[in-house]
Amino acid sequence: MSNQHLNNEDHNNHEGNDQHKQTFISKYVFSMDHKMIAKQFLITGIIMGCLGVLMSMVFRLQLAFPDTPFPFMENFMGHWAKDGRLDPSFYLALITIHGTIMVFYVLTAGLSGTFSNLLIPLQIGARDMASPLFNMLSYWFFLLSSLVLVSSLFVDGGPASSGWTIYPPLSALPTAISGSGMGMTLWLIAIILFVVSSLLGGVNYIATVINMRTLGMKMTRLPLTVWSFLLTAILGLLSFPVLLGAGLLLIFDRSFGTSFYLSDIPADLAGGIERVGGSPILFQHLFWFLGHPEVYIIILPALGITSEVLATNARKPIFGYRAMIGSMIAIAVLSFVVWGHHMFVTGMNPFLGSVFVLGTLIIAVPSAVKTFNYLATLWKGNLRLTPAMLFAIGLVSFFISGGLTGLFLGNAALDINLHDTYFVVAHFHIVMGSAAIFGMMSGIYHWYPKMFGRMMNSTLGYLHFWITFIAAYCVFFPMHFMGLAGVPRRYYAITAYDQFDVFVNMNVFITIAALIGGAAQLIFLFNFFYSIRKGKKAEQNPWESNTLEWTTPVERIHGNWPGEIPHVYRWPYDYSKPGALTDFIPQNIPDEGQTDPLEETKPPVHA
Amino acid sequence: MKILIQLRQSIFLFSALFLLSFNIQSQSADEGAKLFKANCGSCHAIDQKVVGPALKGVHNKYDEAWLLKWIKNSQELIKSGDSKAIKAFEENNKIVMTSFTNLTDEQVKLIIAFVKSESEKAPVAEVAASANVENVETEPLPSIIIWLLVIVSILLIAVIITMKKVMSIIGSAEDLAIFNWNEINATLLIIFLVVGLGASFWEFFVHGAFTVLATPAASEHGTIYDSMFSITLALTGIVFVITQILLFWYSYRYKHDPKRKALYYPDNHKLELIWTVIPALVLTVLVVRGLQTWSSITDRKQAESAQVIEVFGQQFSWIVRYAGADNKLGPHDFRQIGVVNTVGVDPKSQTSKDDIITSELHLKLGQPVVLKFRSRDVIHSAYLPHFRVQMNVVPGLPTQFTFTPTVTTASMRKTLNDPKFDYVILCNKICGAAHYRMTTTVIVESPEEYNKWLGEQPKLVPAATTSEKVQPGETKLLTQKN
Amino acid sequence: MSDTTSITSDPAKEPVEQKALWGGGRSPFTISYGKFMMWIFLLSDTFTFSALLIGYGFTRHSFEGNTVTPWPTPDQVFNHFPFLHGMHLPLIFVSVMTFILMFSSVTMGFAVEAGHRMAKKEVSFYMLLTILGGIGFLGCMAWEWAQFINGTEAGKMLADGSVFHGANLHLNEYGPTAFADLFFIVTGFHGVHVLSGIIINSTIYINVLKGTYEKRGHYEMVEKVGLYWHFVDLVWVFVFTFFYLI
Repeated sequence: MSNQHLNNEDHNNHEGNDQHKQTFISKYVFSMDHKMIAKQFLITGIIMGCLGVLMSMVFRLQLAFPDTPFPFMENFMGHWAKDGRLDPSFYLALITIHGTIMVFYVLTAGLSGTFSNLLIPLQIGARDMASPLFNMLSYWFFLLSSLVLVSSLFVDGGPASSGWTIYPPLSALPTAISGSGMGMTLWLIAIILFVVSSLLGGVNYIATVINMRTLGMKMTRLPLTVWSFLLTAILGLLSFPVLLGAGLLLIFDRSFGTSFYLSDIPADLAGGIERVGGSPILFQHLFWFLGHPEVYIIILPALGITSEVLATNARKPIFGYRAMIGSMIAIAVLSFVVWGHHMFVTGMNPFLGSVFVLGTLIIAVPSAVKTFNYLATLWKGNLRLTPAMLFAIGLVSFFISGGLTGLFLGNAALDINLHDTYFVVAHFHIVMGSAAIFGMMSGIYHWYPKMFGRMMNSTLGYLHFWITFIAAYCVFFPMHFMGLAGVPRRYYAITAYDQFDVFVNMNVFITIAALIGGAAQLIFLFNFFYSIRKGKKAEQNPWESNTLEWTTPVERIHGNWPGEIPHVYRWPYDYSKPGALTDFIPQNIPDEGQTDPLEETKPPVHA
Repeated sequence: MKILIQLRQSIFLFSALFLLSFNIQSQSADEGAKLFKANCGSCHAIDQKVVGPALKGVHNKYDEAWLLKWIKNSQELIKSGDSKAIKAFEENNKIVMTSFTNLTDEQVKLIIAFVKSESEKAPVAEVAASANVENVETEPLPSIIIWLLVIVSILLIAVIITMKKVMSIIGSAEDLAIFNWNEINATLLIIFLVVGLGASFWEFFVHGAFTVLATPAASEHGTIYDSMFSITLALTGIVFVITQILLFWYSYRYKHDPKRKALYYPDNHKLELIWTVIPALVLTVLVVRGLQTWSSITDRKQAESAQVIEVFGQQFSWIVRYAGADNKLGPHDFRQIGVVNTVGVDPKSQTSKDDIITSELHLKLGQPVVLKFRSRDVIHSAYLPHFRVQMNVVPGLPTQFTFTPTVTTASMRKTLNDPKFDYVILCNKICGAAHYRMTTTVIVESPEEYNKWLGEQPKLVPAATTSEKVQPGETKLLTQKN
Repeated sequence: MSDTTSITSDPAKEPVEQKALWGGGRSPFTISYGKFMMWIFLLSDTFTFSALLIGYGFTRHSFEGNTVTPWPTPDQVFNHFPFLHGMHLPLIFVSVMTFILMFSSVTMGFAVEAGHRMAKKEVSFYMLLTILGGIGFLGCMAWEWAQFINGTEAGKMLADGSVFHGANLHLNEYGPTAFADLFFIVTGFHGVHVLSGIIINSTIYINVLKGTYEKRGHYEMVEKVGLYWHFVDLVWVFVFTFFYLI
């Protein structure tokens, strides 16, 4: 008697495309179809991203023209920009919410949420996620979280303004900065909802990848995108709970008079209750235990997408498939033991610092391996420079630049003069704000036909790429030098110090480049939304790719495949295989005479 | 004669007193300016709003008694329901003004007098360089530029779409692609490489000259810091150039050619081993050298023989306490901050009697000094970039940093060719609205100059003098509550 | 439909080649997705509790060597027992609590085992015991909290001369503020998990009585909530160890 029923029975014992009656609500709003949920994540992520970009435009204007009033600011921000001058504490609120939106809402939910949902079932050969219900809940918690965060913009004291890293005591004492009142409380609620969304998603992704691969889809035949989503989900599963714990203790410190993170704070600064015995550094440890894996949660899916896009468009296998998997696993594991490199100047025991230096610099090795593998994939390829391909190439460029500056910051001694300066701002904006975003863009252009059955306009895509690529380098590269000159981050203006006067023109240059780059995203937005209805209709496999998602019908059906799910006979990178008739062999095509999916395919036939 | 002598003495005494009164007056004005700079300057200026409102004419707007209450503890005044206080609070986006319970009534009056005299001055045409006031530009208005950019972008998009439509109509009519995007993009990639690398090099030399690394470090450990930096820069620079060249070159060289077939090259274990081992070796060099540098900079033993100075951070200023001749700092209690003095030091303790509290950090050339950090409220960070020094200042968790200054202010001014240059402490951890203005001057001088300056500062408990009888247990400080 | 394995025999008993185990088309751990998801959720919950316990360790360590406000010794604080007022019974009560929770875990295990045999009556009996055990544990915890909050007769002398009894989030008579804070938060967070476990168990219990799982043909849901209950018990062991014993 079977008391262990496998998911496959549950999901696969109906043919695809048995259309349960779907209303508008059940198809588009409360959908449980992973493809629709992916689009929901994407569009919400894009909208939040627009908000984040707009905020950055405002504070970039402040930085470039610190003494110029901008009347339009008062129209949008009311009393926070009286007479067109941005209030200094609201500047800090803008950078905080900008950071929060970009790190969590765009690059985590918008990137992993979208592509894990879209691609995992399609690429492993499953009808849907392990639990479509949890999947739907994951999106709705994300949406709720976004709404709570946006609502915090309108509260009396303003939104949270202690940086996206919300260190106490600044974030714990409402008198310390105006955003640390209701704004901070709402931020914490939003983050808790976000963590729930993330866990619901992560649990689903892992269960699906492990349990629901179609026959023949061995772990070593998974596309690198799926590997990256799996590892990302594991990272999230283990690190977000610690943020939850950290946030819980902060809620208590803020509202219930406890002293987990507070010490030597007199009663009049702390709501009438003297705080002794806690440690602000405890918060930093707990926060960065999430914070560091978080940045790998951001970059790994982008790297996975890049592998896929490069291979498909180069018409070549990704070089070093197994090394790529190994590197991603190494990065994932190591990411848990390097969090202290954000805390080198907290006064930690120098020995502890040394341990973190070691871990941080070791992580550079698998990252370097991945970069070299990308280069080797391009070598002697036949590169179709589609917009997705260009963005993938851009990612590699940014990954090199940003990764190398990480070697400066990871070295504790050097960090002494670089911590919390514009050097750090440059570093993380290049790896996250440029490389990871480019991965997201690459994914959107590449899988748009799969999401909407139409093609995005490639001319606009090229334009979007070039303006953004150039603008991003123009914005972030000069910042390294500002940092090396000692310009601190999170400064409303640098005009209080004569020694920074040399950077006045640079700030203007950066802002103009940022404005142009920001404006260029309008090209993308137009292209994205216009092409949903008016884009050229896509073929089933427009990129001539090997992976399973391209074997599903263009019009997208519930259950993904009409009839049976294909079995898999080979790895996903048989491009330009010598001896083959076409320059790509999809995964579901057996070799001649191959009957067992688990059997290895024949090696390439060299002439 | 006696009368003449007496007359001379009385004239002398009279003139002395007269001059003294002037001296005291100008001293008071100086004192007022100093107090303003140390306490108010991070958030206020006279002529314009900075973090807090402009203070011009504030002595006319509110009476002295009200101002005394407000300045010492604005939150208490607001809570008590005072309507003027509530109005002021709300007009300024409810940003909390830090309380100054440590200031005496005389000190507040001196500050108000200073504001009064500054308000009555003619409007300053040029900027006062010393009072941390930003350049006032009344020139509008690059808003127009922004609107122009927006309009231009929209027009650009419209033009491109129209062009594309036209092109595709023509193209489909003639059945050929007007643009070979593959070629165009590949060419652009190579151009980007050349321009990009060129621009990076240019920036390196031009903007590199603006960095603190362009001049020798002002501290002993700064030289090993700079050397570690150079090694890292050299290694990463080489990798940067080579990998970016390969990336863009390959993207150009192997652009799509329908006649060519890509090479099926899934792996090469030897190659992979090489490019795993080589980065590992390079990183080993960086790690070993880096850890050596780190342990030498953070070596606790240096602190044992160093001169002790406390740097106390609070929203939004730095207070410096010198340990005096005994090189021991007096004990402190956070509950006494703002009560007995600004930093909560017990004035009755033996070790605190020679402590000196001021706002400027003076350092003796060549003398190892250990800066001990403490915070009153939130996490700040003391960042002294020229010295390659940075350390978080955490409430409840004392931290410290030991270093030896090796370049005097005068000498650095010559090197930078900037006679107005001063070393500074920058706050480098987000700490509130005036985070960007939380600073104080650091001066490195010869031992003689240092001793002279220090000798002029009032001690926490001064020695009894004939003119000012100090009762045992009584304290007369720069910062004493009445 | 021939693609995947519609199992008619217990897959756990079939020897499967490694290649086929991970070759797609089946679960490599021979586990349903629901159970698998419960395992990974528990893994993540472990990290949440770890964060709190590490916070506890970090904070407590910072009091090492502190003679002014020393960290209290647990057996001096938790030394009471219901109905035995005034007697010094260090850690006896919390041991009883622990026993109750562990016992309920055992009964849960019996329930799961009975579920394998499709023995509805036994499953419901053991689940009831488990729920009662959980409620008992929570009741004990509530009593423990009440004792803690109300305090002893001795109390603590404050700076202004008054005597403070008991504990709240910003002041307690036993030692530093952090001691009470962490006690409330860690045991409270655990208590929330116990409560949610009781609610979930009750729901499943009702389903058992209704015969839902008989109809379904298996009692896997009982196993899944069983996993959660065992987890809650295991966490308690750690909390008990760190808070009360060490």
